[in-house]
Amino acid sequence: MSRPAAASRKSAKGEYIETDTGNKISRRAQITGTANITLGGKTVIQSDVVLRGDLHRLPQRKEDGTMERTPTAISIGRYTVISSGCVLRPPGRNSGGTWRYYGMKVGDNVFIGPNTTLSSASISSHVHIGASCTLGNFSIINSNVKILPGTVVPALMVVPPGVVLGGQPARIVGELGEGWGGGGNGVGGGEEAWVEGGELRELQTMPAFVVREDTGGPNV
Amino acid sequence: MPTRDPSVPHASQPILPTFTSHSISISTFEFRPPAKRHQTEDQYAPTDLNGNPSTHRLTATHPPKRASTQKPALPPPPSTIHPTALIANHAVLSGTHPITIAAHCIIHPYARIVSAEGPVELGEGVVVWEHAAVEGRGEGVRLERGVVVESGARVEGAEVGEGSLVGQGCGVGVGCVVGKHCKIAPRTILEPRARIPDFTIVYGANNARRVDTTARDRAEIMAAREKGQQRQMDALRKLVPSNTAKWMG
Repeated sequence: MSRPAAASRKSAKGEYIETDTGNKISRRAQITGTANITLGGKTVIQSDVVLRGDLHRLPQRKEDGTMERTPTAISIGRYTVISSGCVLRPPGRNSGGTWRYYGMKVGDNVFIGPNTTLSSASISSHVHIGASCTLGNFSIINSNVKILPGTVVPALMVVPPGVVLGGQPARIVGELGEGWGGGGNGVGGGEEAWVEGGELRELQTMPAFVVREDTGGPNV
Repeated sequence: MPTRDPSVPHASQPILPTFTSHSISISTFEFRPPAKRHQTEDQYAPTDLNGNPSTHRLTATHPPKRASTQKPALPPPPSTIHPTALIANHAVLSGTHPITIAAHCIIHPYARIVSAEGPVELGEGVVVWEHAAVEGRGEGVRLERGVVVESGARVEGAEVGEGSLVGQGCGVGVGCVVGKHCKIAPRTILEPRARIPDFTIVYGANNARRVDTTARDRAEIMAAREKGQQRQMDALRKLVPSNTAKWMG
């Protein structure tokens, strides 16, 4: 019975590994320095994504003489999708006579399109980044921002919340309405808006109309 | 010579054909120690640099590939690599033409140096970032001292002058000649056989060009840039583990 055992082991090995917190990481993702990367949960990392966790800030000596723990290089929130071919490299600069890398933060519900390169200092929640973008060193993207495909965000740019960004170099080309990409439970917040707008309201008005027909209208 | 029962297997007889396949699999299965696998898994559980157990399992421990499914390894390209160069794990050197890597170069993980169609020459202190490809085409590719090829960029059969920067996702095609201290902004694809003079910045969707007069006219700016680059490379040398010995042959 060794044959069936071998077959089941093979079928269980899909493309994605699921962690305890529900993150899905492709086996073909190219991740270095895994100990310096945190994932919030339910985050998807597709194939050929490079996460440079090895480029972290060097641990400092604490006051009591011991070394601190290696700081986190890349932290990614919940429900974030990183499409294939992306490169996430923590930002770095010359400071205090040496080159230092700093932590990179990516928020919740962020979508990063394929073949995008990021060296941002922080990307807030509900940000949609299109395909083949470049986000420069220490750029800061606030929440509810949409970045069109092929945009090049220069180094050190701070993007205000609720705008559409596009071009080479990036400019603000529009604004996003209130509630775009929000909605509490996942993308679009679908169900609640659907119930309020349509079907239930129709059901409430129908019986009221029927009742009035039966009584033959108000008696004078 | 005593006569013997043909149903009883004899030592000199081959045993395998007389057994059914069912009984073979049972007998081999029994000899497997059952509980040991879990112990070894815990033993190799991921830990961070301080030895604490890691909460996030990012990489799977792959079982060794079966010999029958393994592809035959290609021989490494004929390469001259300076011992001070840093070639990270997962960086790939391939091809049949010679590859020359000078002192203090840094080849990041998942970068590709391909000499399938022509020789590759990397000058002193060249940095090739992840997902970037340097390919020898035509008469070969030559990167002079201090050239930086950013992540996702492709340089094929071109010549790039001293201290130039090829940005993220750029394409520098066959026959291009890029001068010294140029900057190719991210996501720029140079037209074929382009000639870029020294101190030029190529940027934008229409490949606009302008001259970097700040760097050209002021020696102290150039010196500061070089110093900054040097410091970055010193930091990378501490952070990125080297696997140069694999390619030194």
